[in-house]
Amino acid sequence: MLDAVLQGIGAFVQPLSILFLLLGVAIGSLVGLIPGLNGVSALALMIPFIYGMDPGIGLSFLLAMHAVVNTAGSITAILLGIPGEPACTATVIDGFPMAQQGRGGEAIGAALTASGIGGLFGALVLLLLLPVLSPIVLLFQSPDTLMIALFGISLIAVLSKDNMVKGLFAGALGMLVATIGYQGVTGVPRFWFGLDYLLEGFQLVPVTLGLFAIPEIISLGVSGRSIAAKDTPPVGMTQVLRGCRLVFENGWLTLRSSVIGLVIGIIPGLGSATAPWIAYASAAQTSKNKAQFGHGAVEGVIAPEASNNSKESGAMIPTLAFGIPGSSSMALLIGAFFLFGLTPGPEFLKTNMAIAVQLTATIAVANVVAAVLAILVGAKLTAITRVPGRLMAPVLIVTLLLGTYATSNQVMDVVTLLLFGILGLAMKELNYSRPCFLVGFVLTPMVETYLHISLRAHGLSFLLRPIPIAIMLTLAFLVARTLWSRRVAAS
Amino acid sequence: VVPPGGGLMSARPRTGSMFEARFTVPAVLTLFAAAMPAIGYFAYDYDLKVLSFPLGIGLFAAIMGLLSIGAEWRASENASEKAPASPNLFNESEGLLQNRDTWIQVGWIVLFAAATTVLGFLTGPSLMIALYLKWDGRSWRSAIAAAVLMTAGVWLIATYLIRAPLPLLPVFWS
Repeated sequence: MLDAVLQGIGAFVQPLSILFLLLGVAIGSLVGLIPGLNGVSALALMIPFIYGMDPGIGLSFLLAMHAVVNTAGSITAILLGIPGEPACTATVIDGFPMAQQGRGGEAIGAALTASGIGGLFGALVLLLLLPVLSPIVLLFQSPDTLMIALFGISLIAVLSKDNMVKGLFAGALGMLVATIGYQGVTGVPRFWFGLDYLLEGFQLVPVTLGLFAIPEIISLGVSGRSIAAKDTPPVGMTQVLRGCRLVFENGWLTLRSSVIGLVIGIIPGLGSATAPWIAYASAAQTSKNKAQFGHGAVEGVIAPEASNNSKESGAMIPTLAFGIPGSSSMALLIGAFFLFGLTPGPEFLKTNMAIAVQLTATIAVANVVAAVLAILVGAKLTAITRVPGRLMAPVLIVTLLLGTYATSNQVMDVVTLLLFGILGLAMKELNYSRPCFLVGFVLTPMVETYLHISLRAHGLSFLLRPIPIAIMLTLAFLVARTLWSRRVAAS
Repeated sequence: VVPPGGGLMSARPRTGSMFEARFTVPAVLTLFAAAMPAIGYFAYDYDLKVLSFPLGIGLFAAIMGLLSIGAEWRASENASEKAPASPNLFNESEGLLQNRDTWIQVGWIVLFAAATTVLGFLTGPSLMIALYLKWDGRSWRSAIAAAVLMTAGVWLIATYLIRAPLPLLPVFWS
């Protein structure tokens, strides 16, 4: 274990690794500043470009980029009232009033410092848990993995925004599309309609690029406007540093919010936008200045931002330990693992612990670097939000096409991109959850394979094992609670 | 500044027509979900071991699709009785499907893809970026300059930074 840790840290401190980490931080920060483009879009755009890289460096690049998107996303949330990321929405509530009161710098300093600390905390906990993850995950057998995979799908669907039926529909469609191509158990090609391309099934990269990136580009092209107003309030460094200091003065709140983010991130499907709201609610309930919340309380900025970045480390735990994506971003990241011929899960932790350590170190350092850089250049970074939409759209289209083609040099990938782009646009507009579709698409081969193995090995009695029972009870509880809270809200 | 929820929201019609996207899109997807297992059974003649999984998922998806269409239908009937919902941060919809400009943008993306495939990954994007910017009302001079710069930037990143060399010539020549 110690050898793996040293090997991982050794790989992490290589100049090329650091260079790509910095590149990832820069790209992630730019993406975070653009409302509409999020961490998932960034991953979708960049996954094709890691092809051919060293696995550790390529994955570190993606993870560094993804880890810091939320950090930069808080800047537009505070200055413009427009969350750069859906997960930064809770920051708007108190951050924007602070900016309106001329305390934008203070809010940015607090948000960026809290993000950095939250991310660092999450990465350290992940690093501490890595040695014990393997023995724990080895307890899991096929039925248990199957149930966790099903749990991930179900939970995301149940918690998809405000419409369970649409979430389940989207998830089931993703699963159905994933059945196209060779069946893992028998090797029989399914639904290939005489097209050789479909024998391997739809590829993850064009599917995700189509679903997530194309609708955003279309939205930019249609509006044609720059994303942000030209009269962005100037950010003073003194104010920013005062905001940084406030985070340390609220140390317990920062730590508590980081723990909330980490725990929620571990549960598949809960992490993406839930953690900041729960952390915000917790801060509002326990603060001495409850009346100030919603009108510019700095605690209302610190809590969601700390949880926002720590949840990404939490989401890495099921991703690395079980191969279950903790969020839609992690589903994409698993796709990146596959590109390198790596399969996250118990075997991955046994054979590739050094890469796991390298990734964890990346999260920790990327969060700190992003926070420091953003504090230094936060005001200047907002310039990209003033670029006209129709100047950005063609560049993004070309990037998409090049990226898609570069994956496997197949023109059919471009056709897939366009098909799923139209589907993604329709799903986005009609509020059918695209993350649900993607998680269904990614997890289905695993579900089907483990279902066959479980049935063959245990028959239906696999449902009576302790872990499946625990998962089913948890799921039933969550469903019941969701339905109950909706009924209460409706009444 | 585009307000949260999208500034295009106000242009979104809310009528009960069966041909609205909120009915037709789930209807098409439901049909797809139901058709796949049927095709597997009747056209491919898969045995149960191969078909059982897509059959189960397809039926479930079809049921969910019908339920969501039903929910949309009920919502449209109740819509006239309620005040229109204000845009909120959790609603992704921007009313794009009803907007003609959306389909113009889709057309541009298709043209970009076609030109890139036919003309290669250097000439195609340059030409299309220039045409796009000209269509957006910029002068030929600035459109061509921007096209060359943008394409060169993306090309250099792909080739030297990311090390993913792309074909200069039309794809079908390689």
